[in-house]
Amino acid sequence: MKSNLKWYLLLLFVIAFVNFPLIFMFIMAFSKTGFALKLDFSINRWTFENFKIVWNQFKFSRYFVNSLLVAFTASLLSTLFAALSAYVFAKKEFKLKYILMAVILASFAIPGILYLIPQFLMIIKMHLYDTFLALVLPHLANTFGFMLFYGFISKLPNSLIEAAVIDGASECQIFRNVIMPLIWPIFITIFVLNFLFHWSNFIWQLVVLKPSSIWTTLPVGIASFRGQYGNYWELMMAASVFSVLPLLIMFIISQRVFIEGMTQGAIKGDA
Amino acid sequence: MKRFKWQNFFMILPFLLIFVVFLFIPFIYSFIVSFHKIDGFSINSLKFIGLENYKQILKDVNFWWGLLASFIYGICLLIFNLVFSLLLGYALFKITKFKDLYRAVLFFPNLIDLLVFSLVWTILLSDGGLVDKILSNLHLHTGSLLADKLLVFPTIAFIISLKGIGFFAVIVYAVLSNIDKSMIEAARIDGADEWIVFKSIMLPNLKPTIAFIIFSTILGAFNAFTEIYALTSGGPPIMFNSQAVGETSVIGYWLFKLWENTFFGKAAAVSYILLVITILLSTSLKRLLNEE
Repeated sequence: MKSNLKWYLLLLFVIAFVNFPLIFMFIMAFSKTGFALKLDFSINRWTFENFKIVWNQFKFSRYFVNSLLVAFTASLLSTLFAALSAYVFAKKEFKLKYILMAVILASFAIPGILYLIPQFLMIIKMHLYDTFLALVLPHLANTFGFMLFYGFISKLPNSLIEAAVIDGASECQIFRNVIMPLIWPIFITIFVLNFLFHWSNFIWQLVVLKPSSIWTTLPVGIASFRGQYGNYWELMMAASVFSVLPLLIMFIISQRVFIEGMTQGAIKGDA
Repeated sequence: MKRFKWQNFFMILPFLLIFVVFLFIPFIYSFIVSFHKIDGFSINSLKFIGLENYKQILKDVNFWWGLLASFIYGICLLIFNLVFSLLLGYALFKITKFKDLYRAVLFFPNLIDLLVFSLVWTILLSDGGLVDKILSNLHLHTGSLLADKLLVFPTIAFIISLKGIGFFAVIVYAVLSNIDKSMIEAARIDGADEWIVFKSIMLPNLKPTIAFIIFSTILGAFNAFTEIYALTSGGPPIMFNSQAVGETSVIGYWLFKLWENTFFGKAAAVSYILLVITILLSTSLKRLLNEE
């Protein structure tokens, strides 16, 4: 224990430092106007009003629901699509399989920002600008999730599937009853990662939505709030709390499965 | 049992369809668009201008600075990511109590929306903000770090690295705890100190992980936009090749600016040039990392 003390202290210090912005955000969000940057922590400081104001007067309730709809739909579908196709790629033989795999792998090395303009042009061309579909559709082919699922499913023994086939199971039944129970920890991990991505996919949401669109999401809403009322720190931080809470709750619920799945995925994905 | 059945077709269809329509065709389409001029959002009024977009870009100082800025930012981020992930992953490996709790809390900042995270830091790093107050009381630095030409990139890289470090540290930790304990003990009995054990037993095992960190950091730096948008809006102004540019106007930020000014044809051409650059970069990076 004693020789490890320095490592405990290092971790404690870093944890305090990296979580400081989060704590700072909560303190500011609960502060009355003018108190935001003060070091006065007396009873006069605290208030719950900021949350009511941003939620009701500044339409953040609407932004919150939009973000939730977008992130939930997109992450559920993209995770499911990736798992379904990874199963077929891992366990079946078909024409073009290896060419398709190579193309998917290659696309993995392209930074996301390069898709921004081409996808935006595509959305305009398809007349989807400023719609719910524009927010969700382009990111439903989750190549990262696909590669992780592929790695896991190809390591599952073929005998499991063969046994199910002999029992007369259809392909959908095999996926639901044989594959899914075995991959659900990774399924949850990828779902959470995708949720994180879609919840914070600021630049894409900024690019495909009109200013003050009905589909305005939380990050876009917060950015435009900052543009107009940049000095109301406490209101901005109250809005930010709405953006952080769902993820914190989701993480705390799925924490054990999530970190386990992530590390396994990273270790096996490397090899 | 490996036979492809008709049901399998419908299982791969959604993924492949979206892949083709939104990750493949857009590049072909934007290749065509890159030879045209577009008036605002009226995408159907393309005017063919040949290589004009490409010529303009290659002559634009902002493009070259954007590439260089992304590179500088990437190097800063890489240094912090490597040092912190190895240090913290090792610390997680060494401790014995509350391992799960430490891992989870170290991971917390990954969950904060990048825009929100950057906005909080904008407040903390502003002129007269908390960081400025502390540093000027210690007589280390006056004024906002984000306006400091020398320190702006290290500052941004530092906070962004620490935001994501839980992810890398947890992976390093997982690799370390997979190493055969008896090997470490044997080395210790033979008189090897902690540093030698780390260098000669742990580091070789960490090679693929380090390659992974390098690769994802470089790609991540190329993607940088939100933190720049929130923290510096591309500033502070500096001179590059005797022309004024924004120091932190990395390539992603400049691409966004082109979009904002509705230079869609030009933005498409930039995307295409960058595609070629990243393909060259990532293949040579892969080769380099595989060789070692």
